[in-house]
Amino acid sequence: MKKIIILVFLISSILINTVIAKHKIFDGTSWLNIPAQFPSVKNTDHIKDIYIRASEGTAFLSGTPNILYNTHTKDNIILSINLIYENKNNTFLPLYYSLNIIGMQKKGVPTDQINLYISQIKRTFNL
Amino acid sequence: MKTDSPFDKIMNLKMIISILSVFLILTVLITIKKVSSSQDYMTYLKKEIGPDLPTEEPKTQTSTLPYLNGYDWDDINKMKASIFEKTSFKISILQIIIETSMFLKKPVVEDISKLEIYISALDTFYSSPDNRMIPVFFAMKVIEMQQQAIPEENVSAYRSLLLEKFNKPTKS
Repeated sequence: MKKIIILVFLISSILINTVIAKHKIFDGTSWLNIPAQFPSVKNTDHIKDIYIRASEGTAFLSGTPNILYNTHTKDNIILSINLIYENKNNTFLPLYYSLNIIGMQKKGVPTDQINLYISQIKRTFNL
Repeated sequence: MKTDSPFDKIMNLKMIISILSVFLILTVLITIKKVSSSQDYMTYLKKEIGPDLPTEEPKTQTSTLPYLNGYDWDDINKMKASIFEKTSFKISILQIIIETSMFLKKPVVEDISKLEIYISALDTFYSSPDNRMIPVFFAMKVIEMQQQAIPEENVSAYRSLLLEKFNKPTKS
């Protein structure tokens, strides 16, 4: 009986954690976890492209578009985001802000200003 | 042949009732946790996304648009992946759309706990080929209007405007 109760509690705690994890902001951890999350998908670039378009498209349709869609290729954006998130200091960045940073890099914004922008975001998220 | 005594039967019944009670309590706890975590998340986003973050300058619209529409949504259903993966994919898409809209201070929906409802509603919405040119972003707004019990004629008028706007050959 005790074993059953312990097992039930164990399963429920896993479920609760899953529910909480689902509502985490989509950031570098989520991005880097894509291959593990989609084991059936051999090339996850399509999934990454859809995520980028979900964010870029929302900005575009909200009247505040990024500039990436007409200056970068799909592969180029994916590579740039991979580069940003490979730096462990940047994994907290939500996808939308990573796309903004790529836009800033393309515009030739100096690195120190980009770093300042990243620290601003970090402060905003209390990290 | 061994038969259970009345005492054993009662004990077995008690055990089953105990297990069922534990399950019931856990289900209630999980539901409460889910609702509260969703509300915390929304409060967190609303509170923590400050107004001081710099944003990109608005850009002139071009003919190559980056947004997702019903064709993209339909492609997910055709993917060679498990149902769990497809659902997980759709949840992440909606999560990104909602978060981006909140970062831009123009939230597309008010309650992120309704993600599963949106997925099902979007599947229904895009099952009509007429709707597939409408971006997911606006389809969510239509569904949000329906969720808020806005009169059907208003929802219908909004959908007609969207059809008029997006059925033009602008999307690749």
